[in-house]
Amino acid sequence: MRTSAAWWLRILLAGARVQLSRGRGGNFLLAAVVTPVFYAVVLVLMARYFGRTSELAPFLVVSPALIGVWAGAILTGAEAVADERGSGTFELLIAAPAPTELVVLGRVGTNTLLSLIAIPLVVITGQLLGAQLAIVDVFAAVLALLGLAVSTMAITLIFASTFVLARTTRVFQNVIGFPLYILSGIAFPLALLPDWAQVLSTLVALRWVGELLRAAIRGDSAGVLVPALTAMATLALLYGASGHWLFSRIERAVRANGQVSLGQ
Amino acid sequence: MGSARVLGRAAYLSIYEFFGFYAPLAWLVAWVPRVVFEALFFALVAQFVGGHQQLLFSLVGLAAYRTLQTTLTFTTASVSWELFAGTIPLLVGSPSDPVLVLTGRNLSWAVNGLITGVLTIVVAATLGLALTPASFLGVAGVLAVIELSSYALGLFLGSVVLRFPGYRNMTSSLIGFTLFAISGVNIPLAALPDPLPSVALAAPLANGLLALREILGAADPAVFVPLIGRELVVGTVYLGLALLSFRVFLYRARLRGTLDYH
Repeated sequence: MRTSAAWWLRILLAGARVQLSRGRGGNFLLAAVVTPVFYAVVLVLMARYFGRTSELAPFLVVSPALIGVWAGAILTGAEAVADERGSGTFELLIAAPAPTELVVLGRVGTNTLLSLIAIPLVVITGQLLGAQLAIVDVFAAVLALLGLAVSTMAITLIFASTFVLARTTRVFQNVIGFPLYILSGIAFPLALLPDWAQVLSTLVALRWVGELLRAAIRGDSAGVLVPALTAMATLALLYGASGHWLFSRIERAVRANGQVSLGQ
Repeated sequence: MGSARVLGRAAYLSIYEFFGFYAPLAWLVAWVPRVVFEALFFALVAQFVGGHQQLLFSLVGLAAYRTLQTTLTFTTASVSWELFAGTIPLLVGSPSDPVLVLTGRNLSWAVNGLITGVLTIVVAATLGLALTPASFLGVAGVLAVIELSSYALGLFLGSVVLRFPGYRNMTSSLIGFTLFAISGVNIPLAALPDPLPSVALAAPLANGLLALREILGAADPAVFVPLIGRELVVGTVYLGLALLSFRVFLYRARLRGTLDYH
């Protein structure tokens, strides 16, 4: 079997091409565009009512943008697998010499990059409503967004693997988002959470992305940069390794029991 | 009598459709936690922005909004599922009125919407919302009224997107999110610029939500009864529009021979 880097890259790009041609439909727009924009409207209007728009903008404008990126990615994990199942190509994909995981990663990665559109859209929405957000430390902000993209792709591989297991797991995509948004403290200070939840939040990459982005907005990222980057890199590796392990095992299991498309 | 039987049968079959989508266990371990975690998320944001009073204000608003949005999402989509199942021509060919089936086929989703709203109120109660058995019954009653008007709006949207079934989720979400922003869910209706309050009051949710807040506050029947009446009137208007829209759709589709491939 060919295993050169060029071959792997071609598979990734093939997944990306499929996603670009089939994955920008209504559900993607809903998760990555409509939901974050309306969340931004609702949260900024609430801050305006209390006269705290500028003070709270780093939380209330940044959080809908991050939610948009993660919601888009979680949805893609499910949609990519469901799309292959629905098109009757899932067995062919699994039987082909190219690793299924790479095709899914290509699709998921493409959608993650597309989901980043949520960030400028939410910032513009916030500005139209009077929530001005200026990035003081552009370098830190770019690193935070890079960490966001990589960790999002990595965690989506975990979600996608569960959707390979059975089609009914799709109903669980609804429940994944909010616990992660709560634990990450992207929309409010983590001090509002109980101690045990604050400890758990260290395992959510979104927490570190949010902290670094807010520091970049304040212009005091010096104390946050190294711990946030270390945490994001470690968590991305952890998510990626777990996703790869899960995907391989689940793929082997559905091949063994002959339920690639029939798994309920 | 025949119409009631058809409506009842469609409602009965909608239970099967619902459990085909959400098996009882999946509903319990996926939908219920989703509702609870969403309520906790907005509670924490509201607490952060405006303190404990804002937390309670937002959760009461969220209960009404979740009742509407849950119903809107599934009811709008569910009408299109009839199209995807290829059964609309069969309904048209049958001796009963297809509009009755299309109207009744979502009723289990309506019950799901109502339970979702009540669950959110339960979360609010655990976080400090003062509820007596009487006020809880009043709240459940108003949520049921919001449910009815939301169901009517969902039917109307469902009837419209029969022409564009690919946009069913987008349509219900856009309308739902707009009402989320302008119906006084997180800030008082009066704090919004004109004409947004007037627009909100002409749609489901805003009147019912005002009634809900009144029942949980001063509980003056002179205030909440007319508001409930207005919510019902709004729902009736949307139901009328839905029935009209269904008839126009079916008439035109039969003329063009496009009943099953819009």
